[in-house]
This record gives sequence, C-alpha cells and structure tokens, in this order.
Amino acid sequence: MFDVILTTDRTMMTNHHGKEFLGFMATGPALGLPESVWLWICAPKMKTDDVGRAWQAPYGMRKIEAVLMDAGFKVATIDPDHLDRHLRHAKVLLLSHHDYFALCPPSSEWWSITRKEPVNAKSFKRLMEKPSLREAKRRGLKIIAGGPAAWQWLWKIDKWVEWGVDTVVDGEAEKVMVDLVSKALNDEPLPRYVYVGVDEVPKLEEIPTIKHASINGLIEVTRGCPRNCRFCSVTLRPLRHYTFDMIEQELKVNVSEGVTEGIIHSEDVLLYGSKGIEPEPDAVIKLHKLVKSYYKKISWSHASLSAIKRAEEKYKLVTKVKEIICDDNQDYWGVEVGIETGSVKLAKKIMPAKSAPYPAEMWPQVVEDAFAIMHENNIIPAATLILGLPEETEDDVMRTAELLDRLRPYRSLIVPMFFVPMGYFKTHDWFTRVKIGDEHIEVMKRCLEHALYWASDIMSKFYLRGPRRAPLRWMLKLFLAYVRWRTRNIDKKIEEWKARRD
Amino acid sequence: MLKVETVMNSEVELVIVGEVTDNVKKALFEKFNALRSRGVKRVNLRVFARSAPLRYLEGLRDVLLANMVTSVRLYEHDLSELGRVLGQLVREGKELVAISGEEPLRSQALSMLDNLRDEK
Repeated sequence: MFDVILTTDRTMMTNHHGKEFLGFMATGPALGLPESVWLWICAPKMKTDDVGRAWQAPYGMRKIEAVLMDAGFKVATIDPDHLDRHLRHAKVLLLSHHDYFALCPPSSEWWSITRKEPVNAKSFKRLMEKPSLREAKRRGLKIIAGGPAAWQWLWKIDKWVEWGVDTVVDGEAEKVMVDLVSKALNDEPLPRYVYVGVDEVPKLEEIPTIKHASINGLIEVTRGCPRNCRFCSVTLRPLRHYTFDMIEQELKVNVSEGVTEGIIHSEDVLLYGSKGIEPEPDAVIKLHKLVKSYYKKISWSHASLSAIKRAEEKYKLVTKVKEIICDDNQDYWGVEVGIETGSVKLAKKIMPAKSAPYPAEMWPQVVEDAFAIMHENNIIPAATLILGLPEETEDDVMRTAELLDRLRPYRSLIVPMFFVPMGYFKTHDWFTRVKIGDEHIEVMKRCLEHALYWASDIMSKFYLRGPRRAPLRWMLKLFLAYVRWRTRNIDKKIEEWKARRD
Repeated sequence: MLKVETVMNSEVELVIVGEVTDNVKKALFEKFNALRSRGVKRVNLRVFARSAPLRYLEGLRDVLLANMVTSVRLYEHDLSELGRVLGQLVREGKELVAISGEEPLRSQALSMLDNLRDEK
C-alpha cells in the first residue's frame, strides 16, 4: 500500500490514442457527439497494472513521483479509476492538471463560445466529488494540488475549501515537495499556498529523471526560455538544458516500459544546447540521433518560428533533422508553435525578442517563412495566436487576419486563443470579460476556414492513416462533417449574433 | 503598519492581522515590493483571520499573482494564536513585519510586539 498517491482526472491520465493533438478535444465540451464518445476519442482509459498504477502518466507527475521515491516515500501514480481502494490507506494525495477549471485557452474559449463546460473541468470535478475521496478526507487525508494550472485555485477559493485541498503549490516543485509531504505525513501544519520563486527552482543536477513511463513518451530536454515574452511565465525561469545522459536515462525508462514513440519537450527544441537564441546545430543533431535511436517515431512539443527560420536558413538544420527523423517509421512530425499576433506594433510591445535574431519589424515575414520551411519539411504545426492582448487595437487584430491569409497555403492548424493573464500580465483583467469585437470574429472565422481546409488532408494523409486508426478517423471525419454543416451559413449566423450583441 | 525587525535576512515573516481591507492590500503590495527590491528570497505570509477559511485570499490574490520572483509560503492561523506564533517567531530571531487594518487588533498587535521586543 502507498502512503502517497499521485493522480489526476481521466482527461489528463490518458495517452489520447498515442496522438497528443487529440488531447485538445478534451479542452472543449462534447459537440455533436455524446460525451462518452467524445471522451473515448480524446481521453481513452489508460492501461494499468494489477494495483492500478498507470502505465503512462503526465511527465510532471512522474518528476514528483521520482523525487519522492528517491526520498524513500511509499509513493505511486494511480489511475483515477483505481483510486478508491488506495484512498482507504493513503495519507497524502497529490493532484496535478494543465487546466483544473477550464480557465486556460482554448478551454476558456470553447466555454465562452458554446456556453458549455469543457469536458476537462467536468472530469476533474467528477474526480474531486468522488464519495471515496470525501470519506478519505474525513479520515484525515491531506490533499496537495500543483501542476501548471495551480494558479487557477486562487480564482476558485470556494472549490479549494469545498474539496478540502490543504495546499496549492505553484511552480517547479522538485525542491519543495519532500518537505511538504513529510509535514503532511507527520501531521505538521502545512502552508495553504506555496509559490516556488526563482531561488527555489531546481538546478539541473537537482532535477531527477523519471522512474516510470510518461504520457506518449514525452521527455523534457530543456527548462526555461530566453525570449522573455510578457504573456508567458516560463520565460522567467533560468534556462537549463538536460545532459545527454539524463535524456538517455529517460528514454530507457520509457522504452523498457513499452513506450516506443515520444515527444521531445522544450519551449524551443531547436535551441537545445544553446546559450541564447542562436541554434547550436551539433547539439540539436546529436539530440535527435539519440532520441531516434530509442523511439520509432518522434515529434516536438514546441519550437519558435524564428528558430525554425534561423536554423534552416543559416545551418540547413531543419532539413538535417528531417533526415534523422523521417524514415520507414514516420514521414512527418508535429509541433506546437506560437504566432500570437500578426501586428508588428504589438509584437514589439509584448514579445520583442520572439523574432530574434530577426528584428521585431520582420515578425510577420518570420512567421510566413517558418511556415513555408515546415511545409516543405513535412512538419505539421498546431499554431496558436492570442486575441485580446493588453493594448491590442482593432488594427492589430486586422494585421493578424491578413497574416492568416498569407498562411493559407501551408499545411497547419491555427487556433485562436483568448488572452489569459500569465507572466507579467497575471493581474490584468481577462479578455473574456471584454466585448468581442468584429475584428476578433473575423480572425476566428479565418482560423476555422483554415482548419477546415487542412484538417481532412492532415487526417487522411498523415495523422490517422491505416486500418488500425480507421474507427478514430471515421469519428473525427463525422465530427468535421458536423462542424461543416453547423458553419455552412457562418456569415449569416455571425451577422445575427452581432445584431443580438449590439 | 507595525514593524519589528530583529535580523535582516533573506527570509521574512509578513504577518497580517484581521481582515484584508483595501488599505491592508495596499500596504502589503508596497511591503512585498520593497522586500523583493531588497533581495529577500522568501516571504512567509501569516494570516490571522476571523473570516471563513481562505476568504482572505480574495484580498491577497493580486499580490500573489503579481509576484513571480520571490518564494512564498502562506500560513493560515486562528486569531487566538497570534501571541503564541509571534512569540515563537521573535524567539527564533525571524525578521517580522506586521500589517493590520483594524484598530483594536492593531493596538493589540502593537502592544504584543512591543512586549516581545522588550523581552528580546
């Protein structure tokens, strides 16, 4: 039996059929399909062992599990369906989530547009309202919540109290968790809220390697980001590149537990090994050779568009990496990239270093060039842009709409996201409280058209090929058909909506 | 604002007594920023509140969200524990700053801190 258990809800404890991008569906409400089918598509159940330990679990939870195992605690990461029996004995429950209350984009956006609560928040609520959890709480179970969405509890104080969460931990928690869990086990007073400041962030040698498989074989290679965008909190942390030894240890853990495909995680994969914003080609190539020697298929979590352009134009690095990645097992890979805005004026204000080494004035061109490079090299980006940034004007948004037109020829999905205050903007008003302007509607419409233009192509030719993926592909095609049907008279519907709004 | 400084170090106890009023919030913002500018690495916020559990967080939220550099531990105490906790912190030689927006509590805390300082 375990004294300490880590868990999260089904939308997090899933590998999305091995297709990370399907996880985005968990940020929305079930549309045009029953919720059970929707969840089957985006959040299928995770395999477990006899005692309910999850085969794969979110990478951040695996890090905390590793810290606690190294410290000698009896700890395990338990699938939410197997939680009940462990709650009878556990003394501490650790929670993590990317979006506990659907306050982050794109969940907040889905909620705002459809007026329906996204399935991730509903699923987390179901977890927290389990009778077994309430019973365990009555017996004295301590609950500590953390993860990337820990800040959301400050906006949900009623749930913090109602669900009996003892402590919320915000930030990189490796150095603080042993002390907190020890206190919880010894019935010592716990702080209600912990913020991990710059001086408590673990140094590279203080970051443990994972002991069990991560969701979709994700392995972190870098923490932090040098670009200093004002809407992002990652950028405030020091830049730390994992050593090849650390990376190899984590690859071995995943492969030994049967995970043979994976994601290289970094805020900017092409800056692996660099000291700033100039790529280090040798390090990037060595990294990819190492990862590909363990995984059959790989993808990137994030890359910056400026690094993609720079890496290819100066070092032919994207082409060289493609030669390593693409083989008999895969002929494309995915990545999440941030466009954020098509406005030079706004880019200079909120993300002056995002285009570096190119000047901020070149940002729209950097975006277009990087999209062209990705298209030519079979990289399929899921791109985001932000609506409602502080100081945004109608003209800024129209520049974004124009950029979207220029991106139409390039295979990609582009997701507009409402501004959520993070980084330096954390205390700003939320965009969703502000009136959505006609220019925002225009951008959202162009993103939808772009997605509908490319989605079938991506699904049939790349993402969900082959007979094994056929049921999933059919379901998603059904959903796409539903979206097309619902949006067939979109201009008329928008005009009706505007009339109601005004 | 009441203040008793015992030792200048990188960890400070910031004590809030009573309701988190707008004035308290303002004072907290100022103090927090001053501590950060001084290079304080960790602030232990200790709230002695009468309100329902965690309700005071509505008043502290902006301060907590605006901070992205300094480590924070927030502890919740019952008002009746004020003397005991302050005494312990002073005995441990902690640098201590107290804020209170309520007159009777302010006087009570001031007298407590004066006594503790004298003892020290």
